[in-house]
Amino acid sequence: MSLQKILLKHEPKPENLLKVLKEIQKENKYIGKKECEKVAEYFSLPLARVFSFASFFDEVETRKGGKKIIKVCSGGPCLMEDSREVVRQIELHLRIEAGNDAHPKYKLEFISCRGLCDQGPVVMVDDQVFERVRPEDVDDIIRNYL
Amino acid sequence: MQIKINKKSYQADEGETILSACKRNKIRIPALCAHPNLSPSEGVCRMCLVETNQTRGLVPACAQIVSRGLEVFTETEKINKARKINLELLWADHAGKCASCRRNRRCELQNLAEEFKIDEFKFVPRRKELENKDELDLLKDNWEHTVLDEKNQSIARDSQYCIECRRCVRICRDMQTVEAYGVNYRSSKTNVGTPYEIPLDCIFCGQCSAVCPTAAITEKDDIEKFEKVLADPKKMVIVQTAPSVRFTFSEEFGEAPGTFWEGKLVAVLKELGCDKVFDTVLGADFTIVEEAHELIKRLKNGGPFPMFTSCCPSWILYVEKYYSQFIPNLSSCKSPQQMLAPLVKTYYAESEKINPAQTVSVSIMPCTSKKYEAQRPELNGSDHKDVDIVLTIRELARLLRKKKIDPRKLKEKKYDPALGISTGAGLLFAQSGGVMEAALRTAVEKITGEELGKMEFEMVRGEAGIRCAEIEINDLKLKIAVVHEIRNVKKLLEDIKASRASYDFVEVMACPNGCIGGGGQPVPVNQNIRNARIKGILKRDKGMPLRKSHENPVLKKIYKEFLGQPGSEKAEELLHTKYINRKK
Repeated sequence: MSLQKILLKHEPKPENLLKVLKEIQKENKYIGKKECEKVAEYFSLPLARVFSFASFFDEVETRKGGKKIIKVCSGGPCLMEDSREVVRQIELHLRIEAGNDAHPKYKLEFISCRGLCDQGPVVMVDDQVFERVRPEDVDDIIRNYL
Repeated sequence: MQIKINKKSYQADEGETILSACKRNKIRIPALCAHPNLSPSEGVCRMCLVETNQTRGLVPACAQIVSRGLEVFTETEKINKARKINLELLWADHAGKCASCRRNRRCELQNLAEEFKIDEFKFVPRRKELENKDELDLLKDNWEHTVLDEKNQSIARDSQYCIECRRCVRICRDMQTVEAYGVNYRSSKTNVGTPYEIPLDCIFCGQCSAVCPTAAITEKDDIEKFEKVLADPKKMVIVQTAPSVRFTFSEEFGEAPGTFWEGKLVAVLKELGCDKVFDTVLGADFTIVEEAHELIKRLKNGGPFPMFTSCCPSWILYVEKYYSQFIPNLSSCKSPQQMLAPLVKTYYAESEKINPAQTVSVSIMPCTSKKYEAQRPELNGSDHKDVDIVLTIRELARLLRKKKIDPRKLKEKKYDPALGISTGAGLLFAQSGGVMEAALRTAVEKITGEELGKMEFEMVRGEAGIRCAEIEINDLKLKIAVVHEIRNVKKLLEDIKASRASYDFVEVMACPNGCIGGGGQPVPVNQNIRNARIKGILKRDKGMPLRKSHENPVLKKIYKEFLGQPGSEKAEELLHTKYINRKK
């Protein structure tokens, strides 16, 4: 779906902004400057406000990545379920470091709470959500979903 | 309503904050994010924490509204401890390079750090104190999001000094409605800056640099360029000084706001080695004569109305970028700076037999936007670049401090008379309403052909954001308006667009109270300081022997010898310009 179509599907009201950004993200992988300008124009908001809004959310990428992004929840309940060990396993398997941009294919990130606290630890690969991930499941996820 | 502050009773108004009640009663509360020009406050710096009898924890005084029976304590051990920790946290994220900082000794954060004796680095270890690798990563992470912007001509940004107080975001959004900055990303990666880190794309009014408590946003530094030409024996350095800086220059050296320091300003420039010091007020007089001529021409030809003044480069840029349909309404006259400069490189160079290529034209301005204006190629009237270097008054004061020149010890000097005679009308350019008043003094006399009895036009003076009046000149009714701050300008333009209002002649200034509240003026600034500056201007205007622009003898001489008459072909070429639609 083109950007224009996504925009026209929603009324230019502030409460629709996040919805629109997420839909564009699905199509385009990230919200670039061009897309951001179009959105700002459609919602009659200044570019700076749309960007600061978009960059606030972990959900919305504002930089071109082209990488598979693996996100692990760093919320309290997930940490209690040992999400840190899950991260360590992923780091070991993929030989990457959380938060580091260096690897050409993958990026591992901590994210804030997904609201799935009873299902922790939560791991996301792009849009796919994995719940109750044990350290030993990591190998499986990496083999099948990356 | 009665409230108690530190066990004493005070009167407070319904709906006001604890901070404003304290401020009125001269009880000091430190604050880094609250600013008198900006309300309501967001309460992000947590320096104004106070204890009250109605809340359990500490509350920010800048955001807490007073209520009946309130008792406030502003200095207790608990408060001081909390403030100190908060300040240490802010300091930990700050560059702390005070010795080389542009705002050294003029920094609100530094002042508080001294007051609270912040000399320990509890939160960020220094290099030798690093114990393990994690701490180094933390340190790296802290500086990861540093953004430098030196790409625009007016405003420099360096986010390692930023303490995320959001004053710039708020003043740009609320006062100037441009909203060039935003708070980007979140938590430890929070960064105040432009979207996608593009170079600043705004109207360069510089209000953000005037309210920034640290050196995160400053004027672009052109001191080095200035020093270089001063040291070059082949270059003749010709300086002009804006009408408003002579009333604010003294503040940089600890004098009261509004002190008239014209002679001192000339003296320090001569001391620095400038060859000639001219007065931009003469340029202002030219602007008035040309503008009055244009207004009369438009009255004869029937428009287009309203005619907008064109002295403020930020305002011009605002029209070009956001309201391009009003471009024909802008007066084609250049600003005073850009009127005097081509005369220096043509008329003055010819009469003194100097090669204009060897002159360097420098102007001392209250404004960051003038730096941008000087770069506009279409404004060059002579064959050379009209204005080579623009320094704000803050930069000049910084240079003087660096060279250890104290203006208080220098003897006052006079402007060089060739282009240095000024009138009271031109001086009024320094404040909002001044251009209108000066223009009316000339226009009314030109239209009626009689001498003006009372020179003050009180209806255009004052503080209100939009001031309207109707003036009768013989049988002609002129509807005028004076606006300052872009939020008021926007309102006025929308009213005109929707035909809710109509005016004939409108004066616009982008900064609060005009140039005396300019983005390059000494900091800190608030309404009281600006009022004191205005008082100084009005007093000086009253004492001037010449108070009407068209009576300026130098101006008359230049028209006779060089330009012909107002609106002549030569004047059109040197003193007028065209505007470009920059809408995106």
